[in-house]
Amino acid sequence: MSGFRHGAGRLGDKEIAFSFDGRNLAAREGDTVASALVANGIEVVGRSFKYHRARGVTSCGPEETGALVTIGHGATAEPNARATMQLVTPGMEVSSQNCWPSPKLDLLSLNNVIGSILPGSPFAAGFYYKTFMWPAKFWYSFYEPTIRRAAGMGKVPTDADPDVYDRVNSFTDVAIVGGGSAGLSAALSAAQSGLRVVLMDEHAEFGGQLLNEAVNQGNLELEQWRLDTIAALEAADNVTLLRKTICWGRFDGNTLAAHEIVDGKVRHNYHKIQAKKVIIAAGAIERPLVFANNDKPGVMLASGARKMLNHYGVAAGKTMVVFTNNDSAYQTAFDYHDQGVTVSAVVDSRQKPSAQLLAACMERGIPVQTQSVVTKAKGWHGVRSVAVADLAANGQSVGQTRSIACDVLAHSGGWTPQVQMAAHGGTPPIYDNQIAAFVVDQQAEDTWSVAGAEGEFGLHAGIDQAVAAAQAACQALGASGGDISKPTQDIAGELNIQPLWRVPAKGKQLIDIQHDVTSADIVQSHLEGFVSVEHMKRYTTLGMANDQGRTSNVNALAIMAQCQGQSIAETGTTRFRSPIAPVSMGGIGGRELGEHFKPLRRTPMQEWHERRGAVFVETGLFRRAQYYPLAGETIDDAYVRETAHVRSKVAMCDVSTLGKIEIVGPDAAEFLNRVYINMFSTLPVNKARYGVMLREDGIVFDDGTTSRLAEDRYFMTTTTAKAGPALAHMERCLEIDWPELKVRVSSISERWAAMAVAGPQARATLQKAFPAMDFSNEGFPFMGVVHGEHNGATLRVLRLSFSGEMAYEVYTEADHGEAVWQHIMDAGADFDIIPYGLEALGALRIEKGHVTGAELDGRVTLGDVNMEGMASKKKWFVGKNLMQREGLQDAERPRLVGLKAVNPNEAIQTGSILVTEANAGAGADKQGWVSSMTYSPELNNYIALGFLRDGPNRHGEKIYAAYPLKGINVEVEVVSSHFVDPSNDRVKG
Amino acid sequence: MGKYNALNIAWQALRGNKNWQRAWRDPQPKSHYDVIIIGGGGHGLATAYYLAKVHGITNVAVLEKSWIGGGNVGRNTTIVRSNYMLDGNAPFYEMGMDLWRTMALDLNYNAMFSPRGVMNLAHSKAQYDAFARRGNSMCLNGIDAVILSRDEVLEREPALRAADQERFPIFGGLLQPEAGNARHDAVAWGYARAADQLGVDIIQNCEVLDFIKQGEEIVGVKTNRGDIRADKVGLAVAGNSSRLTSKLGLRLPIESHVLQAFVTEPYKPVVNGVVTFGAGHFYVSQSDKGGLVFGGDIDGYNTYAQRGNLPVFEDVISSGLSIMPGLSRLKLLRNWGGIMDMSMDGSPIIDVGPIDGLYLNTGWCYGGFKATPASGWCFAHTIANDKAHALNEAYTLDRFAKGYTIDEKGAGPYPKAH
Amino acid sequence: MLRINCPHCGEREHSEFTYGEDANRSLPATDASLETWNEYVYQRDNVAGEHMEYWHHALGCRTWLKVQRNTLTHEISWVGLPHDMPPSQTEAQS
Repeated sequence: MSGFRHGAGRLGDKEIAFSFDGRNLAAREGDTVASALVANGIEVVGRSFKYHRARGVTSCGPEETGALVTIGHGATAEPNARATMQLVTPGMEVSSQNCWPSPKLDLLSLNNVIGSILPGSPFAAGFYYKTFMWPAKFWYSFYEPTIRRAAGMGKVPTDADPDVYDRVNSFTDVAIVGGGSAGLSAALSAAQSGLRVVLMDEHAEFGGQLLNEAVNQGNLELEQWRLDTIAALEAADNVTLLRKTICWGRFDGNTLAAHEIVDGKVRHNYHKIQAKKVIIAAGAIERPLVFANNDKPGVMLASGARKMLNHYGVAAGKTMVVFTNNDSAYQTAFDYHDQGVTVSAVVDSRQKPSAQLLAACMERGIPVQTQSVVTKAKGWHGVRSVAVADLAANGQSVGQTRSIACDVLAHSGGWTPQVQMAAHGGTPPIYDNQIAAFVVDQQAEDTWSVAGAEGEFGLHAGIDQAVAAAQAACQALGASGGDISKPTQDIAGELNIQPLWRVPAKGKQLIDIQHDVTSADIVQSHLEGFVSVEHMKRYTTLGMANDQGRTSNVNALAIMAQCQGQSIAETGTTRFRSPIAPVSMGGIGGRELGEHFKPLRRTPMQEWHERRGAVFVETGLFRRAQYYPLAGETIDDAYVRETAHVRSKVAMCDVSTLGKIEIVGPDAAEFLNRVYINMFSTLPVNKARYGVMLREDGIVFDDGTTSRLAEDRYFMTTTTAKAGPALAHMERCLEIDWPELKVRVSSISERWAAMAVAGPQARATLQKAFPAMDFSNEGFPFMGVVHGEHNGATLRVLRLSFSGEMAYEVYTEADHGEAVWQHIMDAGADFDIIPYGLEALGALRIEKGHVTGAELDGRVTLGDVNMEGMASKKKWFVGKNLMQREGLQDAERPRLVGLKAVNPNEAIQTGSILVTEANAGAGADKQGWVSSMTYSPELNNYIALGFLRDGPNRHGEKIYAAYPLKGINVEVEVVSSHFVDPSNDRVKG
Repeated sequence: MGKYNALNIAWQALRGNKNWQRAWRDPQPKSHYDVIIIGGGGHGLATAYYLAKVHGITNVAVLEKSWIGGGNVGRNTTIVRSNYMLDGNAPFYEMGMDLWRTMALDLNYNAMFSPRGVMNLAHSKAQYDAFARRGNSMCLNGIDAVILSRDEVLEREPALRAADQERFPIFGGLLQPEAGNARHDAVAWGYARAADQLGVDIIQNCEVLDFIKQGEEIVGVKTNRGDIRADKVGLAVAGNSSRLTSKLGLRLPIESHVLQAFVTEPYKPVVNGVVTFGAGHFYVSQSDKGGLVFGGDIDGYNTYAQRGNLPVFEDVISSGLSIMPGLSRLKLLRNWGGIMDMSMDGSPIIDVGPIDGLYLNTGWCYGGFKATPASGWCFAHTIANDKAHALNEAYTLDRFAKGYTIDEKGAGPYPKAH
Repeated sequence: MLRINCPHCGEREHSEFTYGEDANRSLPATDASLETWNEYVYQRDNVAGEHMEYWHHALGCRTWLKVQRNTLTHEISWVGLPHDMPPSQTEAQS
């Protein structure tokens, strides 16, 4: 194809510069990359997927199968852009894809050469399933890497995308997909009802097929109608017009998903439109005819060639041949001829095209060859001639070929209504013989497919359908859509198509031009028994390329049906999947990426820790202070120092991440008795108790401390990780299982800051900080609760200990968290108070043998953590029944033990497996595992908690903690999990 | 039916590819079989193949209500791995790895198993330690496992570099080097062709409508193509197990959920192996064609519709872009959904009974694809011997009642959580 | 997307809700047999068609809702509170 800038079309004359593979070229404002490339006479724009055949521009729309290019470079590159849908912007860099060194000379096209010499291609359907098997290792080491390098199209940017995308949520009454004549009419009708209307179209300009029409004397009124309609819609403030917006999916409840290309700071808007009614006016896509080399640059869909000329002012070539099996392509011949481009012939496979068309050709001197077909497109890179032959009356063979010179072949194999949107979540479409294509069978609820999308191609008839649908939609919403005035001029919709599914001649006839699937592949897949359409699609990969089979599906189904000797209707279609057209992932992600993906949760004292130089660690959505290093300290130095400090002096830890739940109501005690394994109804007011919850299956769910603030009011803490699930569990129990209980549960996690003050000087510190409160052992014994106030902050102090030292948990309103924290730090200065982090907290609790999420991993029973004695025998509780199951009582279950490194300075690794043999390898008897470890400054020894088969009866035994991932084996002694102060005296002091 | 090889392909090409034979026959159902397998998916076809090959039971029919391989074997993200921690699972999946490695030559069909490695990312020390426990357990079970530092992770997958400073910095990872991907459809077709060659009847468009019982024993099935009797009836109908057993009044510890999967347009190689994100629901690999194949969490509500909804769609993509921001400019080509029979502990059931003549293979959650060969092999053994093999003896139906659940995630009896 | 008409909040979108469980189950007596408890915790009808189920309005009013939804089409035909019944069943019982 040697295309050239022919006139203005609908574009102005403003020139902009862009480049293609480094060549500087000129485009007009409004040009797509495709029209600009054709205007510059560029024929080959890239190479195909499998055979690396030359590819050029084949259309002017979303159905483009040839011109896939990369736009830009580096982090802002967009690979696999459809040149037909991408407007040229000043300075745009366009590059060809899948070819080396250049699109014209591509070394990987060797595949194609081999395939062309032999009668059949060795790379035909499914070839890779049948070879590359021996020797087995070669597939991965040799064959596959070669295939991977050759496959793929554009290159992926590896840097973060600098552009911004937005998610836009909207609600509308009537959404209209497709802004051609029908969509515009439906929108204008619906607009008059006053309801909210959204009209979207994937092109930059509304008009659909109207844009294929020439802007000339004969069409002035039609063009004016288009412009007036758009102007009227723009003026209506209840109408939202979305250009360059591809509606790519319809989900449950008429939720439409659409991508809008935005010019500006945001690259794409991802619209999620909740529509009460949907009108699908997405039009139809022209199908290619199937003949040899129908993928050669210069072979274009007739409608594409026409829009190229009439809208973009670009002639697709200097000499055209038109090949068709229906009426629609004739207008392409007329428009090219009338605008001074030679049309050497119209080749029509039908015996008798209408007299009217023949007369129109004769009038123009365009020769029409009826009952004839193009058997092959010829030329090196692009079309230079076509071979034409008579088609036998039975359509099964062709006669002698004759050659007609041309550099563009415009073809039409009929039209395929865009039924994908209607089929999403709806019923499968059915075959309509009249138009030789699939149409919507049963309209989905609240949805109307109209005009081209429903197989009605006439202008007036389509508008009538659209307006009727708009009125019905409005009426269903209690409003009334208006009437609109149609353009005087009609465009006939009859195709008078006589299907020609493939030209009965030899050569490489492409069905799926993007994936290089040929008619021979389809025949072969039939021979091999891939007779279901889904099998054929998967075996040949037909319809799985970027165009999602828009141009190829119907042709392929027809050929399959021929092979099977059944009708196309019986053959059926494959399932339609979203997205209808490829859309950017960035758009769907919107701004919910990186730090907005799962926003960081912060405690009220977070900034204090930051100022203090804490190192933080990821814990769920929080980043908690892990340790507060002094100059030159490693993590190990720091946590060991902090741990020892707690045991010798006093230190404070931010425990605000704990889940906090308030339980209120006359039945609160009874409720807690049911959700906890131990008794809470007997808990006195202002006392706290440790509690454990089970799941219904008898496995430990969570633990925490709950204190009774009043007869009917409890304050529960949960672990950080289970704060959400525990609340949901309790809400579920109350609302579903025990509606008779008068209890409310509310999360107050974010309302309260919490800090643990621990160490021998904890009492002195707090007494100094809050002199009005009584911290004496008598006034405030272990597990007691005391209330107070400080500078307007409410204080709720619980005397609990996770560390095993004398310790208090101070709760205050979140707003006062940092102030109270600072106040305690100040008061504790005399006692040498320091903050301690999560790492020291872990060390302290391991020394004490307390379990956390590392131990309670969703698989352990009460028995496993030596807590079976805590379960009340006097009452029922959740999980009580199924915890009796044999498997949960099995004596072989690993149970909690302490582990002490035999060599005190050898670290026991968390995640080690407990075995009895040194240097255990594959097949070793796995007797348990290490759940958490620390260096114990108290014992001057590495210690750990773990689970060991029959563990409690094995104290004193020496075994190994094996970490074969790193070849580490640590000899450990099995001990009690209570390493420090087993009699629990310190907490009570 | 010739063997597939390069010579054969060249020979066929010389003859214009017009003499290819059907990959498997299209037989009429007989009135009686020794064994009927309901479900022509990967597991059903593999079961039939191993019944014939290992146990010499060739009078077998696979009944498929539509086209073979149309269920989850054709709708997954093609990941093959055995990186399991618990003893009920690990040896079973590892035996499957051996079958994957020899599958192409065994079946004379290239299912393109590629050990490109499966890498689980850890974003905290706690996550790393949990992976270590799993990895150490794998090592002691004879499964290949490597623990990786942050730098080693980034070296294997440079595409992760751009995200490393983001919300969830990478702490390390657990790698199973011998794990990887396979070509999903080819697994079904390869087993079908190989089973067919051993005499198994693969009967498509044959829907089982009910069971035929004699007393308390199942002796056959009623289908839309007539009654077919059999000594043994095996069920391998992922996504439809409860629907079929309900005809027997049998409830299962299963809920059916939809799992969405996604593929981008084809691009030049950018992701080398399989990567799973540890701080969000996302896993990705790149197919030989160049498409990035990825998925995330199940939608989380009971459904039999093979399509999902936007909340999970968005979450999966946000997760993916948070770990590989370079993918932002890539375009999503296709999204699909498959129905998963989610069991109550996340592990499958391969068992005899509970009704005489019935054999169950179900509950694969979203891990069924990788299990295809091992499941077929073990199910065939179980059917042939009326007793589980040691490899699947933990996968009993009564493990729930007895309290021997195999809960790899520790998520409890909540199918949507597995 | 699913849209659930919460009796407290009105129609809200899918992402505000969390699926709970099959609502046809009811808590066994505390002293019921292990077998009954096992049935309750583990066995499901898992119907294809109209399904009564619980959803939690987790990002809304935090009420647990009873929803009748078709598992083949996702169509929601009724929403109520956990101890409500859809009109058809209420009539059938009266």
